[in-house]
Amino acid sequence: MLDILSNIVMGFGVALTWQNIALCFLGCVIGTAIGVLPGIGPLTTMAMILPVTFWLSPVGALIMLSGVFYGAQYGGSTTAILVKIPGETSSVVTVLDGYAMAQRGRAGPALAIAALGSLFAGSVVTLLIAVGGPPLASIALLFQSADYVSVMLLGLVSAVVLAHGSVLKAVGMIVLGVLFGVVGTDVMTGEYRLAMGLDVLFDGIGFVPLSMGLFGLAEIMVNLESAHVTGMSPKPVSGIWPTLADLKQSFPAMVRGTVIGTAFGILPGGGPTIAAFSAYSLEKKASSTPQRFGKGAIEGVAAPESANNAAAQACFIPMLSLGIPPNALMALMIGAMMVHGITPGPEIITKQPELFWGLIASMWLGNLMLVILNLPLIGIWVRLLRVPYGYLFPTIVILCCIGTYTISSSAADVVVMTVFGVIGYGFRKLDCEPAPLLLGLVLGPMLEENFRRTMVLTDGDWSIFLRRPISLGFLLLAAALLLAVTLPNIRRSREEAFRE
Amino acid sequence: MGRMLASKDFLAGLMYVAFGLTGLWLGRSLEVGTAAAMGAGYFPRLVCGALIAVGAALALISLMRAFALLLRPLGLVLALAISTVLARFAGREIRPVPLLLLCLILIVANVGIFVLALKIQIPLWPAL
Repeated sequence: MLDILSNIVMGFGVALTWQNIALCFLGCVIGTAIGVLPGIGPLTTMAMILPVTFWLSPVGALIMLSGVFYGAQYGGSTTAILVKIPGETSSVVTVLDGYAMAQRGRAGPALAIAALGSLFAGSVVTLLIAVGGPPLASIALLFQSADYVSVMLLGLVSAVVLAHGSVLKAVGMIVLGVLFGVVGTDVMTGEYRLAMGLDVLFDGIGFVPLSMGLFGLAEIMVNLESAHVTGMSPKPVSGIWPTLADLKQSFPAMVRGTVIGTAFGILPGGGPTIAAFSAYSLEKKASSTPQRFGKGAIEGVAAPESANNAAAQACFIPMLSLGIPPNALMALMIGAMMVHGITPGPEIITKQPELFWGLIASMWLGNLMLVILNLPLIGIWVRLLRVPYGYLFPTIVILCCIGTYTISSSAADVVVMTVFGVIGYGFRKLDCEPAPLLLGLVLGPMLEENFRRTMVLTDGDWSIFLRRPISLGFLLLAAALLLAVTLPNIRRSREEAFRE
Repeated sequence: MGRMLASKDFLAGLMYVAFGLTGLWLGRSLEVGTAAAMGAGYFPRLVCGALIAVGAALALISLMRAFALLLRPLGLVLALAISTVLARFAGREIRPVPLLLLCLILIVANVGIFVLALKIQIPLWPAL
């Protein structure tokens, strides 16, 4: 316990340098802004500012990127409540009761509860990472290469199970990501693989050009097609503070939301959106007055808003302690770490404690900043909605190009980005969610390396995966998940969960 | 809407197969090796194989779904004809005359076996 305390103090020492405070603040501001704007998600934004973070210290880079991520969860709820436009998919359920409250003149308390619920969830999960991360990492140190193969397979399988829409399509996207990860120099033999003789591909498909193309450019192309609502002017918000009765009603919902959010955040393939949906439906089921939901029940705001923020932060747990990203956003964080020369894995906590604890301390700090940023300044954020998309899109395209170019001053990278922009547009046209691809891209090379190492060690004996108890456990879990998704009634409830 | 989705699935499946085949072709000279001493080509081939399998499954299922969607309103004869023409795009190009023949043979065979011999209740013609 004392250990954790001294570590947290050390973490605040890192987070409270003026530079890192500024980066955390900047991340939160950017996050809130893109959270407010529909059509631009945290994945797009994080991909876009990735090149900027290369000029920062590793801790600073991670602090800023995570600020964007959880900041977006705060910002997304603002527009959901005020103008019925969820800025992020994770805020879609908040619309139901949040907007209903706003229509009855209670927008202020709804916004306050959303922010306070997020703060509560954020603080709890930050503490959980601090307490749970190090022991988890020490367990992970016992893993051998065979166990890593199995845990990554489990990660990929559950990413599929929890993915949106068609299971087979999601499997295909992941495998495609793994295939893209193969391109480049083979680490063991030094041969070029699938590089088509192109210099730019000898070191593999660049992480930044790929993610900028898939999530930046392609996103814009799709957005250009759909007309956007602009010039919204919501009613001014008066009276922010919730009553004591409001707080009493929403506190248990916040607690339940936090628990669900944490579970879905840790789970590979989970994340804020599914956490928010589940928390809302549980809250409705647990309530003694379910008929109030959809008509402005304050629990209907508190539960999903706590859940999405809890999930946004809980996905850092497997990322930091195992080095395995549970979703595409964390895959992006891992990409950022690798560019800084940090090998993700359980050693991070012991070898680079200032990184781990500094990031945790900054998360708590960032949550506090977000409440202050969001409540009194709500009018300013809402005004962002009036920015015509006509100005926004060219700006983003230019940012993508310059950002990609600056990484290694290579025009070829910009071409790669454009190619992936077009590919990404095709994916969206075919309803293929590109997020699982990023997961495959990051996990693929790790999977291959561990797989080959295992096979060398056992002289090509596949049964090692079943003979090691840790590995067997993960494989059984993966099989159970796969089986579950094919069972008719589970599939039905999965579809229902996504439909709402 | 349902038909739209089915064809999107079909195209997505073809796309996966195309990526898998391209991967196999680009990596054709990479050495495979054995499980104990893997060459640079072992893992890529495994991944391409998986991708092709997934793509093929996706395309097949969407074809079957298209058939099921057509069956109710159009009846067996038209549904068979349309799916056969659709399925042609999945494989090698067949010229119109053999395609027409194939359609006829499939329709006669299916109607003969399932409707006349086995007496399974399937609507034959469009429901009016």
